Amino acid sequence: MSDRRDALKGLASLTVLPALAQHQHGDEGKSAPAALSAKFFSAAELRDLGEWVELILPRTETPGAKDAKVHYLIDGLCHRTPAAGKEWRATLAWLGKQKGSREQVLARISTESKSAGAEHFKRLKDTTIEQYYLTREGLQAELGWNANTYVAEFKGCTHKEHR
Amino acid sequence: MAQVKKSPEVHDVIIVGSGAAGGMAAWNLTRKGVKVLMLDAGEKFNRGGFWSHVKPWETQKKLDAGQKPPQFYVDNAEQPYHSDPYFYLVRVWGRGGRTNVWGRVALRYGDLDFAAAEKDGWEIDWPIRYRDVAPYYDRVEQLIGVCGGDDDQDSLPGSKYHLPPPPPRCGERLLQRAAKSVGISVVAQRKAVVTKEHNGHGPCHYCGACGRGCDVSAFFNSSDYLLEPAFKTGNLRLIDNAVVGRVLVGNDGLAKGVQYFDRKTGQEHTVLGKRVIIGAACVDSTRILLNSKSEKYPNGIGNSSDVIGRYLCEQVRFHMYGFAPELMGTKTLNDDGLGGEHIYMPRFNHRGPKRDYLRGYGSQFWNIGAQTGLSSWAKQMPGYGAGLKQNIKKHFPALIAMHPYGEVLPYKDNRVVVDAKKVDRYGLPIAKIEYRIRENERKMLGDMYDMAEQVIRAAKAEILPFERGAIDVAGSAIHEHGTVRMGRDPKRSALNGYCQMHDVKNVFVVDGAAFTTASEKNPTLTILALSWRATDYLAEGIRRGEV
Repeated sequence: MSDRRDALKGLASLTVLPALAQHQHGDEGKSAPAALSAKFFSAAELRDLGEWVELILPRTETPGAKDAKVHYLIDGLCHRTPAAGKEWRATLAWLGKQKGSREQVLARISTESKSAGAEHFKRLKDTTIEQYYLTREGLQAELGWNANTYVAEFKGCTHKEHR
Repeated sequence: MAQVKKSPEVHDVIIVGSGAAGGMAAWNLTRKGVKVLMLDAGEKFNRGGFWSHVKPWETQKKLDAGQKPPQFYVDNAEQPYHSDPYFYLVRVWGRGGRTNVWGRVALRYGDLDFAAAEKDGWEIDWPIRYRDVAPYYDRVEQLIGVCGGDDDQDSLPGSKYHLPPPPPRCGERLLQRAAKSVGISVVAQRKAVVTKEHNGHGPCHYCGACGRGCDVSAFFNSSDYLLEPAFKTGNLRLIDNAVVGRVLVGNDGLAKGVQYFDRKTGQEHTVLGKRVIIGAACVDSTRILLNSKSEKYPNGIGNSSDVIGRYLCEQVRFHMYGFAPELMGTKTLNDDGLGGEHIYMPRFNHRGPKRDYLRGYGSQFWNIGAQTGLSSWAKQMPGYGAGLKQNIKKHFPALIAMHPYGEVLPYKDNRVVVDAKKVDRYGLPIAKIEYRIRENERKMLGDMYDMAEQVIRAAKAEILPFERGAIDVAGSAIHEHGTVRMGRDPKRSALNGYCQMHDVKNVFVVDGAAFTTASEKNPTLTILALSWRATDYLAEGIRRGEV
């Protein structure tokens, strides 16, 4: 038991770490008015990309991919990763050459497999999902996520039917 | 060649590494009045600079602005290792080591673990039993704070000292209920997280971002919980950025000091000590010992048995996900809680019919409920447009998961070696890891898959596609053990039950390398207990003038 007493004695002089009430938590409650500009795509390419991502995750009663500036996020990704930029430019060019409206093109290639269209659709869909659900619009406004924050008590599941 | 800087001072004890193992050794020795020099391969991490509360949409903006999160992990380009087949080695060089970002799961081993080899005859037996370690588990839990339940099992010894556990999330309750319906107990997880103020450490505020480091130090980390009190004794001196190369040996065959290199400048140094404690984490500790060749120890210090580097073992694991229908379309809750799971499935396969494999498995349950990493499953949803968006939202609160961990047996040729042909920036041979699972693990995996599927189906969940038999990459459990194992027979083990080398009495190895078997459990609580026990023994030996 002497070990235990010594242990507690050794720690007794420590003070409690900073009060949680004063704890800083990112940008809670603030809006995100960041001014955006294209770094990789041309203005026309960016407008085009905005239309495509919006078709993948459109505005409903909650913001869509364009509201969440997903096309700008993809632009940033291409700016940072030249290989991705090359692929995205090829995807936009390929999509632009297809016959019919954007809606008709998506309807067609979304059902294909092992084709160039399927590959471009996968890039468009996967990246739109990846980026949208990292935004405030996607996570908070659409999904209702409000975590990574201070809570005094974690209540867990409160549903009687799950006990 | 630059001249070696030799420090003439002879320290009572030199400790290599500042994580759970080295930190505990330093804390325990310094409070007993022993003067300690600690060599750490990195620096103190700035807790105020942790990105614990950086929201997902802020991360890229901060990176674009040139900001960086703390660089916890060692870049393989800086300190390479080789592996064949691939072994994922995670190293944190810096004060506190991997305890800055660890999973915090704090499970006691029992005699099902310590006496496993005695029962099944596979490889050597631990030289200790639960009764030897239990008092140290008690002390460690009281010191650092471990939350958990009183729902002990024969495979999971309990504790009188648990702090209150957090309540389960909805998905965890459903899995607990489902497991019970098929006869398997799922208990409260035991984690080294302070759920109420404890020994001066403020409580967790449930932001769920433990993997990025805790900005208020509400979970155990060696730096705040062990090293800071050790500094206060006045008996601890620590040298940052000291990458240890070798243990130096005197004419008497005992260790006489340590060679290290400054990580920033490359300058070589030597320091002298009467005893050396190695706690640099399993693979790095092994590399240091194997590189410590001398006339007396031609294949590495303390390695007359040729076991050092051999018997590398950890756990084999996989992940199975599903969606619980009861939770689909429900209101999104804040499911963060403690980062990771609040429940645990202890080993149960030793009960009931005899299995066609040795040892056992348990399961963890992280990533349940409304979690941010949803794109991995959301991309698999069919279609696009408003229907896809609605479908993702419906599934968001309903994710459930199981992560079974199974013990990998110690095999002689699963090992760490040093490769004299490939050297690091200091000119020292790098580690090469040779590790693969065998027939026993493959048989166990079949059982693990059956169990996970049975439990998730009992929750009436829709299971996400999986490939039966697939496993996570070797090393991903980050629980390397066994390469400097303890045992009773000096011909088959490197250490005695007090982590002391059989061959070199003034060298101790106190990290996971000292373990005789891996168990299915997370090792850190046991590392802390064994390091405390080893340094009690050492301190008593110093007092008596025996070590």
